[in-house]
Amino acid sequence: MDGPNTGALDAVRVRIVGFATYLGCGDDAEDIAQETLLVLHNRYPEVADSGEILKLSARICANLAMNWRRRKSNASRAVEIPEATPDPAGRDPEATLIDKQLQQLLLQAIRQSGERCKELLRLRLSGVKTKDIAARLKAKPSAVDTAYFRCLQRLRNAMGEVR
Amino acid sequence: MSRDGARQLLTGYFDGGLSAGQRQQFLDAILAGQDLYNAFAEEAVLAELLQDADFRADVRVAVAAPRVPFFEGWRHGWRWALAVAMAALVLILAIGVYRGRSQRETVGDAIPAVLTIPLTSTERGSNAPKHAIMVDGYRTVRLLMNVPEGLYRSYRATLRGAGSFERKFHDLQPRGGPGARHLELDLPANLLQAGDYTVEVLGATASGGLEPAAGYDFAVMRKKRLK
Repeated sequence: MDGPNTGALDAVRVRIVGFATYLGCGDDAEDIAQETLLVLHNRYPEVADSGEILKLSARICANLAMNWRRRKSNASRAVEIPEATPDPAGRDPEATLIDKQLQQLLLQAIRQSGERCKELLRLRLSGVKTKDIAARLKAKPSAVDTAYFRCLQRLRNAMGEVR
Repeated sequence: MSRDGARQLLTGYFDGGLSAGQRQQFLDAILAGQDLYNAFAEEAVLAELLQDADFRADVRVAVAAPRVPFFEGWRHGWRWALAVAMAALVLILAIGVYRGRSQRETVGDAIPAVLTIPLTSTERGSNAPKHAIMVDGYRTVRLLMNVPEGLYRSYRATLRGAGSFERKFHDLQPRGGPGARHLELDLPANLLQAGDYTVEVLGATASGGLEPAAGYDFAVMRKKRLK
């Protein structure tokens, strides 16, 4: 794999495999990680910042994992996009469609989440920083972070249940 | 790096609140640990999804604070005050009921437990009105009957009422000491149902025989029960 971000891709590959496994791809995690790196290399060759590479890899991996799971459970539900379909926003059309599906799943999971989780999401969505949330809830910042990540974990689990 | 420290860096990364050094420290930590990478990846997915304005609006609606019902909105102090007021009201009502019942019981206790009724001997064939007694509220009815003085050693009485009611009293002695001239018959008031009653008194003579000594009529009345 050529390009300025080749070293970073090699470094992050192990984590992508782990993330795909975490998302339930099992033995296909290696293949999904490989595909993630290919997409990253082919579509975002100009990105060199390691933070951006990590974020992009996470997004691509999540999309691929979701489509893999759908294809696995019901082939008719998998998203199939013709190669020639143009994307008016300049984004990958497959990613756009999968984003929409992810949004629906996430929205459903948020609606089913507890009030505490909703409150944290509401504050975060309003741009309130962790320390300010902690002050408002009279809790330690570390406790707020822990609660927030547990909330995300429950959302992910809920998304897995509604898929 | 501790888990809490890593999470704080993660939150700070997406808040944009990390210095360059902290940012590099955080990225190194991501590559060093799978759990942190997974948390970072989830946050990254969420952050990108939330960049869609429509989706962001939907999420805002989904996480909006629920409408608080009127009573739920009260502060705890008000709810406690309401609870105390309700308890006080219940207590006042309970005291009122108790006092009312006590007063009724006091009035009830003022009624003598024994209703003493002097009966007058009736002549055979007499059309004189019967003595009517109201026995409600009494435990015992005591019938006082005048008898001839010094004629008999003892008396026997038979009380008969409506239907097959009959009660006999043996070996009755006149009360009131020497020269006493009346008999007393004590009856549980609840035995006397409404209706006409007769008391036949027989006197025991010196020879051991019995002969009619007196007769009495009376009627018992009961309060009507509301249906």
